[in-house]
Amino acid sequence: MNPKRRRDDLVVERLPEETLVYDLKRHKAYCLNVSSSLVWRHCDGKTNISDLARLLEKELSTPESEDMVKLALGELNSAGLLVPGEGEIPFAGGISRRAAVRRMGVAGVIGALIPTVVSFAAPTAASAVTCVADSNCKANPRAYVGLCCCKARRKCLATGKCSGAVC
Amino acid sequence: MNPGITIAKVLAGSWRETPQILNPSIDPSQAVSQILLKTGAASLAWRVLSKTEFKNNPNLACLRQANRMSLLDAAVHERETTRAFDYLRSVKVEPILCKGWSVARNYPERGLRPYGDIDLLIRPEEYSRAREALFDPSAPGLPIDLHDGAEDLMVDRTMDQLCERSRLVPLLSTEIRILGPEDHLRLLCIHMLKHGAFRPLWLCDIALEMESLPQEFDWDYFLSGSRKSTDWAICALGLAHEVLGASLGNWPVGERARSLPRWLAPALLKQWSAGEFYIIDTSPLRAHLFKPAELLRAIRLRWPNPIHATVELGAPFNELPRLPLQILDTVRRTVLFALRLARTKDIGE
Repeated sequence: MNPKRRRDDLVVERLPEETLVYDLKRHKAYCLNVSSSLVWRHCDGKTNISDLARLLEKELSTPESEDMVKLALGELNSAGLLVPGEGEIPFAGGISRRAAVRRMGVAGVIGALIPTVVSFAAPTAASAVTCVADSNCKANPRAYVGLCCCKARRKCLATGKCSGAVC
Repeated sequence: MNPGITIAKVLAGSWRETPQILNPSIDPSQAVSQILLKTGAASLAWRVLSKTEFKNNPNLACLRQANRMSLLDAAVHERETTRAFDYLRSVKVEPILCKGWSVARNYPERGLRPYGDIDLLIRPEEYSRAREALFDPSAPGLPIDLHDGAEDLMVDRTMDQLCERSRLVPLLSTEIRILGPEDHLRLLCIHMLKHGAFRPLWLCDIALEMESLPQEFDWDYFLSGSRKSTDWAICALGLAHEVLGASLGNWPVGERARSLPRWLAPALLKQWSAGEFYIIDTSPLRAHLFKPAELLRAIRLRWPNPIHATVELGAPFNELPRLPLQILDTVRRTVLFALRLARTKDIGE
């Protein structure tokens, strides 16, 4: 089975050197470096590991390395960015990151191109707000639940009351 | 160098299509980057600093990370804004978006400013319908902040005026109603001053708007309304010019904007250097009443900056000293605090 990238509930921002992905379901953000981005972008369910390795060689001028693809796929899979397949995922097992990195080093892959998928703090629309107005909690509790009410200094509850834990 | 001045030099022109090359003598320390991070200007600063030798400075890695987060946040916020409009329109409410995306849309790149709530201005006759709709269990869980009419927005305009000049602009699959450029600029100016201008980002927003004004910008309308508020707004434009180098062109307000009171820009830079402001930094004073160390800090943070004191007391921006206003504002707020405390005590008893 060829790897296929997940498309639902993801916000994707492509930058020249990396790709940023926000998982709307799990509320997690990931930063894919250039090689992981390339592999992920071509995971269309039709391209196999050998083809992906050739693509990496062509686009990034790396030595053709299936280890590199497998490492990228393993990281993407752990981050939930691939469509879970039926049965075993052939690309995820059988290779540790350390072993793969060592083998790629021997093969001449430069450090910056070794695939990484790094999770970072998830942005939320309320991330710029230190606290929410008590009236907002009352008016629209579903949006503010869990956030700190400015006046009461207690967390906003789903009932619209600022009477949760002290914050 | 004073952190406020460093911040001003880093952010000068950061909103332009091609930001200026930063003078190599300017060294943004870790303390400066923390202030930028805290006050929402990290992405804009990174836009400038990433083109310098500071790109790989580990002390500034937080700015890069903030930029990444802002980018994703912007994409999420845009979706949420369209969902908010679609949902409210489905219950026959036509909101007007204030601040947020209506400012961010003019920046040359996505994710250059962080987002908070979705501030929506609602006509008074539609307000209860909008609130009820958001209470409905089927309502999307969005961080919407509803504003009931023009008074709630701190600008001296009627709702009819704001609606008449509002316009539709495309966002993703829908159209978003935003304020007209005159009302938008006036709102940004007054909003910044009413909050003591403590976020450098707000001045960048104003600078960006100043340099994106449409040809047909109606200066007569912009300058109409309360004379005091108009003068405040012009002074805010003057600050963007003096501190960040925003262009004033040949505008009718140029003369006043170029002759700001001598205390104004230094007060702004001093506030930026502090990197904290009581509105966002502290819990209610009563929470510190029995903790002397915290109380002292809380009181210090509550000492109003000259801009905040002037606007809170409705005073003009002139050359007179600000200290009496700062004292007066502190006394006023202390009395209000004592009254609130007494009232709470009565209820408690």
